[in-house]
Amino acid sequence: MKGHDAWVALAVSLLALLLTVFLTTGALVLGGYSPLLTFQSLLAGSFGSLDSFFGVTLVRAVPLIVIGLAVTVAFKSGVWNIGAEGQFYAGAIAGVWVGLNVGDYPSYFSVPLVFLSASVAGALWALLPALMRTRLGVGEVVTTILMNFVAIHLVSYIVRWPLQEERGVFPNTDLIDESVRLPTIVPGTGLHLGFVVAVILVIGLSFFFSNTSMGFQLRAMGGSQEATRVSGRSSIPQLLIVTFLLSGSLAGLAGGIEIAGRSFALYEGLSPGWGYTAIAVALLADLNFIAVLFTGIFFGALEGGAGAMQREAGIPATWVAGIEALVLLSVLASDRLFRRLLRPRRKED
Amino acid sequence: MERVSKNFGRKTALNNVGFTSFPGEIHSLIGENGAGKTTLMKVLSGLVVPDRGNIRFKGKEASILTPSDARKEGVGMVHQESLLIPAHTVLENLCLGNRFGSKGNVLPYRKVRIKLEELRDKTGLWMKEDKLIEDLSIGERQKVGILKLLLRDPEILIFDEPTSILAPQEVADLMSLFRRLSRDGKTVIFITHKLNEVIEISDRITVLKQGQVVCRTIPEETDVKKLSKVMIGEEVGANLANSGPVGATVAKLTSVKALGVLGEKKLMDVNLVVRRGEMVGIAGVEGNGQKELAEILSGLRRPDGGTVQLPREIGFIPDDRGGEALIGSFGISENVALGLVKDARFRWGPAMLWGKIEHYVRELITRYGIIATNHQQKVAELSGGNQQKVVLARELKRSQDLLIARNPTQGLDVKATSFFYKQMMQLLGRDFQRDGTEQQAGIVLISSDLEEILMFADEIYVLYNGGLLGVNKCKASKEFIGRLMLAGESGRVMSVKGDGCHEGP
Amino acid sequence: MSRVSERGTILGNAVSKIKRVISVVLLFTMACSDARNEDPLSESEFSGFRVALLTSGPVSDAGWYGSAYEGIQLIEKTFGARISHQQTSTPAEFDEALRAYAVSGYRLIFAHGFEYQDAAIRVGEQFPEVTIIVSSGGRVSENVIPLIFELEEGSYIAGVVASRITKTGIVGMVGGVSTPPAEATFTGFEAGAKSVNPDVEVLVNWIGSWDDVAMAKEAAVTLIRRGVDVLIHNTDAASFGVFQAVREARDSGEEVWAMGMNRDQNDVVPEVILGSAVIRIPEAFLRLAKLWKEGKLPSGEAYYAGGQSGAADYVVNPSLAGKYKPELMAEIDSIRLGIIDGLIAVPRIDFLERVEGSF
Repeated sequence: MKGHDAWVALAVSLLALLLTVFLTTGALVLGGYSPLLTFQSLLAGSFGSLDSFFGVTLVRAVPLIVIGLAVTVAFKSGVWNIGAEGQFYAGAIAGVWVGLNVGDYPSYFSVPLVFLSASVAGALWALLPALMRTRLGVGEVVTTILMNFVAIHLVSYIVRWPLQEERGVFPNTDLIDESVRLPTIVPGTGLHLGFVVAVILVIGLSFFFSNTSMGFQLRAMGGSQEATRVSGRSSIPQLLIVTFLLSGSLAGLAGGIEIAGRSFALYEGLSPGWGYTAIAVALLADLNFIAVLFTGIFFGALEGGAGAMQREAGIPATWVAGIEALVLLSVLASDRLFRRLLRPRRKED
Repeated sequence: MERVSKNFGRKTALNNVGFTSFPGEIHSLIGENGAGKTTLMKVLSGLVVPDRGNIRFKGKEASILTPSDARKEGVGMVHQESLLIPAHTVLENLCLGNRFGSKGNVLPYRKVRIKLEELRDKTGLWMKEDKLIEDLSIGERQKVGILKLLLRDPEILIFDEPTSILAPQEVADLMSLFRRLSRDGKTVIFITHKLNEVIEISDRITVLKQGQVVCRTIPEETDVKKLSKVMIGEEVGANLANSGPVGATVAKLTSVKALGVLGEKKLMDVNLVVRRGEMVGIAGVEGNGQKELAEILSGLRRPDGGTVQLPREIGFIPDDRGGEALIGSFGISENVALGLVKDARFRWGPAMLWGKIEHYVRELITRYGIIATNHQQKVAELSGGNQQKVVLARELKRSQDLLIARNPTQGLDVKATSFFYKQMMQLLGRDFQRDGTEQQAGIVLISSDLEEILMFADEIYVLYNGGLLGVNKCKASKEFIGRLMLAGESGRVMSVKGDGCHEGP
Repeated sequence: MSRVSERGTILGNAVSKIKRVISVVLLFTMACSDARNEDPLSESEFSGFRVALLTSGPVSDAGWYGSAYEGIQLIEKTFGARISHQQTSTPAEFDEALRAYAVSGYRLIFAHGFEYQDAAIRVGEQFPEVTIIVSSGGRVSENVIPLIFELEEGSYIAGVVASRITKTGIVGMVGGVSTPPAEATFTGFEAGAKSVNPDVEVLVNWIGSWDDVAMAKEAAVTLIRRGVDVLIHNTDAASFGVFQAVREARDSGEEVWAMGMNRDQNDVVPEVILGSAVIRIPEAFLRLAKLWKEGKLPSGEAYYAGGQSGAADYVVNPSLAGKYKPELMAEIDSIRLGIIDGLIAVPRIDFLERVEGSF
């Protein structure tokens, strides 16, 4: 939260960009592809036009930001929630169920209802690991990952049986009604209201964590659970439950937003591992809520640009995944490098 | 070492310090917290590179830039908290970092065993090599740390405040180890706060103050009073009233039991009464139930049996400053705020009134003389004494009725210690400005520092193996309580308190 | 971490950060904009035939996705079209990818899988000049054309062959994910088998995955243990597991045969694969592209790629042709003709939905 952090982040991304350009150029030349066309399409596909920035980068950033916030909430409080993926699906299931059954009400009623049910479902999905942690002392890393698999298979079941589309042919649900869909905020692009929700969440959580007593206690728990218990006289199980529920509800909400804003139906494989990508989003942001907004957009741009690289430069999908990984690695490496350079020397006794 | 200087940022840690020691001597290095003792020794052992100055061994100029340079020159340091791996055995820990020419990934078990035998014959130091570190007491862990150092056969051994965590008998053992080492021609450098130990054992004494040498002397020419004057210009425990009127009961434990995670007994049938205006001292070697007793007394955990009466708000100074009392990565304000989260005056609904809190914290920093760049400085960057002041500043606010303190002065210098006790006396209602209307608090001091307990406590108990033994203060000698702490001899005979004992010496 | 100053500047910080990002974005925009958006769909730039392909799996699978890629390559070679392919990873990006192609002047888009159908309807409505072909799709609109492969025709013939070859009287099928098109192939297989011998027993085992080789092998082994001696599959990469199981059974002395599906797999394990029920995706794609180019592609209805167009067939493995008696060969030819002429009714599942309202 120090002033120079933003500048560090900017410098880091520039250095990383150079590093990646250097590395990938070499790889592309060896593979017989045009580096110039590749980078041009990467940038054009993510920032090159109104549609690519609003309709691709920001739209893709929405789930990454919201799930990134979920991960940040958990990690900041010392809870290793690796289960955002499952909580996202739980939210998507609840969201699509409410979306399909809400009936004919105005948007300002049905959309919040979808959000609410998605959040509650995400929170409930996180509740089991929370109880196992607080009651039985079972580490949440394993339980939350396992809950991901349960959620993924639950989706497969839901789209084949209880919520399968009307004709009973394809493994997905029907489309939700127009009135339950999020309005587009930039006409002509696919940018939906979910982005505004994400920005509000960023500001709200940032305020919650720095200015409320509960947020402070969660932060303290992340700093030292023992000190929070002993010196803060806080009930750690209670704080843990709050963390799990808050984190789970955010990831669940992301599921609701995707349903109401982009896919309008529940499909298998709706999330290509956002719950895990969001961990990188959160860590790259150094668990700073405001920075999550930007790292989320960065990842959104990277994925959007990756699509354009395939379409316009003809780079095969596997190569694109490799280039994406390379960009990410160099960002992480230079991030650490900068941190080390800028870290003030520890004062000694 | 000649003209060694070191700055950390704008702060001068060492300023033209010269330090000489000879083979076969025990050299005490004393000074307040932050005086530069530890930094000086870190320079010698290669952990800190000085800005200026040079170091010579046996007349030869040596450049020590890394710990391994220092190791080659035969310098070794036993740190306050030995860096041992709890889940491994003594032998495994000893093997780490001591290769003895073995190759690859094979640990040199056999060579270390042989060396250990030699060391036992030479120094009498011995540890069961297959015990796990986590099962050892703090004193035993320190022994492992010393053994680990001795295995390297160093010429110069630096001990950083080794006695603050030991029981009297253990301290005596350590002192005799020092003597044996010096007889073998080793140099022992002994960093400490405890002036009487210094007088007792040192061949020579160097006093540091604010990064400069203020005094070089030998024990024969000085005494505790003189030394503490040189260090800070004050005597320990001076001007502190030793007893005062005692009021109503504020806390009462009746047949309290506590169990460990695996159901093992941690506390058995503990009965304790704390009254307003009295300080109850509980002596004992760490690991005899102190943690459980302190947590029950401070309301952090419920007992597994028996009844507990406690006031609504209790101040608690935990033992583990870095782990339980403070969050190192947080600033002073936020650490103080840990004590204010439930305080309506600093909250507005669910929001914390940070402006008000910071104002309050700045006030505390002035009142308690906490030395910090500002109220946001991370507490991990503060010296031990200042950290403890932060804890004190937070906890005294909720100590209107009862304060539980575990080893509160551990690692504190004389000045900080005496500041702490002044605050305690104020809590007990014994300060001189008292107008008689202030409410007195009760204090429970749980400490392994026997002298502290003997000096300040009105009631003395010894905690041994989960049981609380009462001790008659009038008849209690240091040696007797020390034996009780280690052996747990029946204290029943001693629990009969002589009348008039509290009338003062 | 200052509380006061942080609260004082938290907004200021955020604002300055946002400003910074916007300026960076603008910079990128200026650097990279290639006049595409200012001048949408100018004919000069987009003249020429552009064909795009979307798949949700890797085109290196030597199967369903790979054949589709061969298809657009064939279109490239035949018509000199400019082609492009994108592999999508989530249903959430289908709209984006389809729209991106539409905006870039691709007028014929092959969306290779039913999963694209909802997005295709939405994007198709926004871009009426674009034709989207949805392989195995179930929804039709003016410019969204489902491409239905009548794989069940080849499967029917495979069923006849299996029934004639089996000695145990039990034939089996290993299925991937149970979807209507996949089920249709097995219905065809079963109907073919029973048409020549009503007593033949047909066993099915679904594994719930298209590419889990180990699971497919397990399923095949189970069927072989139950007496199956001719084994067909409808999976993707997982088919290797089926062939593996059959080969191992043969190695231990049992006389078991396998059959390929989707594409001509006869050369994968030539010594055990009797033949393959195939759909010729590349040929079907080429045919569609030709019709579209000539303006003869009927809009608003599905395109069936079956035996009639040569897009669905049964291919005898030439290296095992000796296993086919001459009369069986003749039977295959007559059934093939019968299907084309409509004399033989292969069971089909129709699941088309006509879409006219707004999406």
